Amino acid sequence: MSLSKIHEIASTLENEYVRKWKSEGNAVIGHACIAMPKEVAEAGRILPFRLRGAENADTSTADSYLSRYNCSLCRSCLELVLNGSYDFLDGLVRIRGCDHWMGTFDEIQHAKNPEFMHYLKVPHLVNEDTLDFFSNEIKRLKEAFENRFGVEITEDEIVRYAKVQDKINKKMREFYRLRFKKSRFYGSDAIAIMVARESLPSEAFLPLLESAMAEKKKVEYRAKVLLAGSPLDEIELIRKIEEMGALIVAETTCFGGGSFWNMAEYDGSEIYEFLASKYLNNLKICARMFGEYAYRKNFIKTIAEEAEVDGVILQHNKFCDLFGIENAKLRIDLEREGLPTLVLEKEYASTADIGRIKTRVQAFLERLKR
Amino acid sequence: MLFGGTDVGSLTAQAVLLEDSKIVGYRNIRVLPNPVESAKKVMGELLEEIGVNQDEVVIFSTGYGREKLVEAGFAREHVSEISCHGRGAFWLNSAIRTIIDIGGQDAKVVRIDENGNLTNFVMNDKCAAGTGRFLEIQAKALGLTLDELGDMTFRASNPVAITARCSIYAETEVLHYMQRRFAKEDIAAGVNRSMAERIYYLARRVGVEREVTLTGGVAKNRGVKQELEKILGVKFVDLGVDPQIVGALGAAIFAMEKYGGE
Amino acid sequence: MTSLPGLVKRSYDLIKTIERLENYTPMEVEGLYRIVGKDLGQSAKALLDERHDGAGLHFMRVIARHIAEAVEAKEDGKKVILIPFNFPPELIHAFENAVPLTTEVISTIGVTTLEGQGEPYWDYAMSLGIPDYVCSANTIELGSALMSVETLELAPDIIISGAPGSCDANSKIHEFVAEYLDIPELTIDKTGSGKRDYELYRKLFLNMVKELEEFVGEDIDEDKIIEVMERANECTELYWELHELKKHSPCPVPNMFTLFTYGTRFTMWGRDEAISMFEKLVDVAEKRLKRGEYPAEKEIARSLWVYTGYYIDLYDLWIWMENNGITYLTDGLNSFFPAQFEIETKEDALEAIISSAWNYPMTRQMGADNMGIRWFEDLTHVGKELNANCAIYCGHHSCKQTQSVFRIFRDEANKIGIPVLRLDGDAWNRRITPVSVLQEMILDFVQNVVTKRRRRRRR
Repeated sequence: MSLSKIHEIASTLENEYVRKWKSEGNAVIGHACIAMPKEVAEAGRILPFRLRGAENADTSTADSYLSRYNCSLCRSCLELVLNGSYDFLDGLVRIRGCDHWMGTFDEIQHAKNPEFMHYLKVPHLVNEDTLDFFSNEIKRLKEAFENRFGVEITEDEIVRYAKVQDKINKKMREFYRLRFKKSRFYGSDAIAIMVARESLPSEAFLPLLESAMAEKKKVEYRAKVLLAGSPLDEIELIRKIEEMGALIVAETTCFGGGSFWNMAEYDGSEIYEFLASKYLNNLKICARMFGEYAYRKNFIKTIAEEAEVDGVILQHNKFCDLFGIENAKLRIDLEREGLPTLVLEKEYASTADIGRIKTRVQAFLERLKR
Repeated sequence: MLFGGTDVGSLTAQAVLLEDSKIVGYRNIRVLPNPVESAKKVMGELLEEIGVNQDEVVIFSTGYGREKLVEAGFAREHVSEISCHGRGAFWLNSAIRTIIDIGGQDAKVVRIDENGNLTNFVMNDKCAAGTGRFLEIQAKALGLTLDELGDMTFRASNPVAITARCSIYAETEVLHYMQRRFAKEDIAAGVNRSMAERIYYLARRVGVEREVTLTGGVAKNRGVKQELEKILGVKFVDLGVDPQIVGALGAAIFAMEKYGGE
Repeated sequence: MTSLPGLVKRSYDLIKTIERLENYTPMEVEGLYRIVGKDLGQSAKALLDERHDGAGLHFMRVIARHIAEAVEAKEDGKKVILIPFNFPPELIHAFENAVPLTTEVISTIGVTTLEGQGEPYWDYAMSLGIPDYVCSANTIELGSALMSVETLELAPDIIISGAPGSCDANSKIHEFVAEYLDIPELTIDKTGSGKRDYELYRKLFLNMVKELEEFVGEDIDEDKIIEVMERANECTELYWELHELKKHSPCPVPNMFTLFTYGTRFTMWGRDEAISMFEKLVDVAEKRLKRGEYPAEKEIARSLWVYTGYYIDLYDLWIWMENNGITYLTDGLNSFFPAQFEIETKEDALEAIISSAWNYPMTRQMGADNMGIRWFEDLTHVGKELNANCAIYCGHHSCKQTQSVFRIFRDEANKIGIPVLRLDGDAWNRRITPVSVLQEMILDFVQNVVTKRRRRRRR
């Protein structure tokens, strides 16, 4: 039951929990990156809701703002902002996840000029100076929330929510391991769970996750595959790939394991320093973090080994510079190290693309002799 | 027991029949609007020609609509055209390690090992550059048939440079050269060379190991073939069959390998 | 085809030949255009055009020096430091044992002077799996650098990445090359355009200088860096003199001087070569002003190119425009707003360099808190100063940042009555949109939008 509830949440934007949350007088803010420190928002009874494309392929209005040389996921999200699908949000936190997202937020400001759009600045490097900078940025975010929404965000509350996040992350790792060796869930279920997490208050999500984990399935497949690359929330696409026999048993993407697998647990230290280190270090899974290629390659290899996968799909949306280049390097290195890879360049939620994707996945499975 | 394969492409569809590990017949037609109908028609004509009933044949499908043929109960299983080209070419000549297949709307480079197993592949199917469609557009602009276009390479003295990647802009270039009264042979040879260059860089993504063969409709273009041999520094192995049937043949071989023991 | 040497090696040979051109008669040079092939012929014709009065040749010498120094440094065991265009080369010039090599400049030289342009190198990068939508300005030179594993190209010893926070493609492909060639990379980061962002940028920059000193095995000498910065100040003064000259109509500063300006800035700033280059540019423009020279009957359009220009055909674009009365006033790359600095210590010098880097084109606009607004404000400021009557965006397809906020630029520009043309093509790759198509669009815009507006305004 919980799993179908989760799929329902993943297929709607303003879900029932959000409506309830809002009816209780709480705020919801939109963001688009896993660098967003959720516990700071939640400590102020503000729900961090992650923007996603919701499998929307119509970008006709957005295309008159962004160009056709921009990422189709960003264009899809912008379309949803412009057509009012995200009107339930009480504001936005912008992060320069990549150049495309940066432009998207510029265009949102230009077209809609939202009353609240805070810029959380996230460095592209991890070192003493950037960590120090980022902890100040998180403090500024807290102050911006307090000023805008008239709430008080205490350190104790942040710590309390950090511990809730720890609990969820731990549970998510347990859930992941149910997919690794003897797979008991489909990748499409996993993506739905991840999407739901990004759309619900933590306290509502945890029990849903726990009961969904009890709904183990018998899973059929030809080969076990790890999914890496750019942000992917397309449940339908994963379902189609899995119908062909390529079972996705893990994701290193930010709508997947990348959002929690390496996330540090609260260690009792000064909370802002801790959060800066927690989020910036975890962000190394994203190709936007420079000088961390080896970290990402090792992350993929570690998960691939533990999950005993047959191959890796390295996907990215067309025009994604970060993952397009990253995937070229990963393909060379992983193949050299004996891990078969398939580079998949795609357009977000495009039905016209599905034939090409299927031919490649089928050939990849045949290559894996599955 | 007979084994059959069908391969539906964007412009043409093929069927092949095997019996006792021998090709007993093949057929190549222009496609109908619906890929399922195309496969049924081409296989139907072939069966009629050979004089066998469809229920005596195990059919595997590949190409466009390959899954639908299985759903419709026409084919037993479907295999990707990438594997089929690899298997078909290897069966015809076991020295083959690289297959370059250029069809109407896609181009692919397939690598196989010493057992004929697929080891890697790369495919271009998003735009017309580097596909048969590219040649078709340029041939039309030049007022030539596809065959004539291919032969022009051998009559040219100074091929022009076609630099545009996009086939629409390449057409503009072709028209531009025609207006400036460049020899048709030289423009056509430039088109063939430009096509070969696109394929060359696609091939480099997976590497080219000998022996190499060229399949698909564009393999019949002598000009592109020669330019590609020059640029790759290899001599293509002639498989001794119509280069367009290799995909359908591969599908038939997969059927034979899987159900031949029944 | 695969054994073609890399860009630096090939350009080095070629440029040595160009240096000898001065001794030839105009007729001999004309004859040369015909022998050297179309690609170089077009560039040579453009660079050596009479209106430049020797400035084009002078520029080639500056670039030749830049390339030769890298080649010779390698032979002498000095370090070759690959830098992106948005990194001030004067810092590297302050070292005794290191020389800079600027990615995008090498790409541009490859595109403008080599037969086959940058295509073989772009293709080489493609064959490694780099997607075709990644910026060609980087892909061409870096594709060439990748060939150094096959000893076909000069290998850089270290890479500086200066674009995180302003350009993903630039930063990412530099990272790819560093990883692929297994050489170290030093990275700075621009998190935004505020005070705190500057503080972080400054800290990271100073750390990078320390690491660079360690790598080169030499502490930057105070006297040397002060000397470099004094020369940089002279360059700045001359840059603004040239800027002033551009205010005249018809514009006495030829279109291509903009390219010569930033080509010099990105390679030789802080060196005598740069000073003499700028002196030459100012001198030629002043003479032209005195004589009232302009290549067309009338100056119809004073165009502000809001991003880069096209480098795929210097003659049929830059010179052609001028011959048709279209002045190329300046562009985004040329808008680096150099400042004079008072330098008494090494610390002063480093602070000045950091401030220059922070204000570099692209870094300043695309690394701002709001890319669209900063881009618009900076460029229209320049446009107003130079009395531009139209703006042209080259629509370099792989620049995701300018592409994403072009709408903002256009809407804001329209509010203040500046017509904007959006072209669609690749600045470094002619395979995307042919020159003839670009010409048509520019002419159409100038004749139907710009001149009509002028007429309306007069009435």
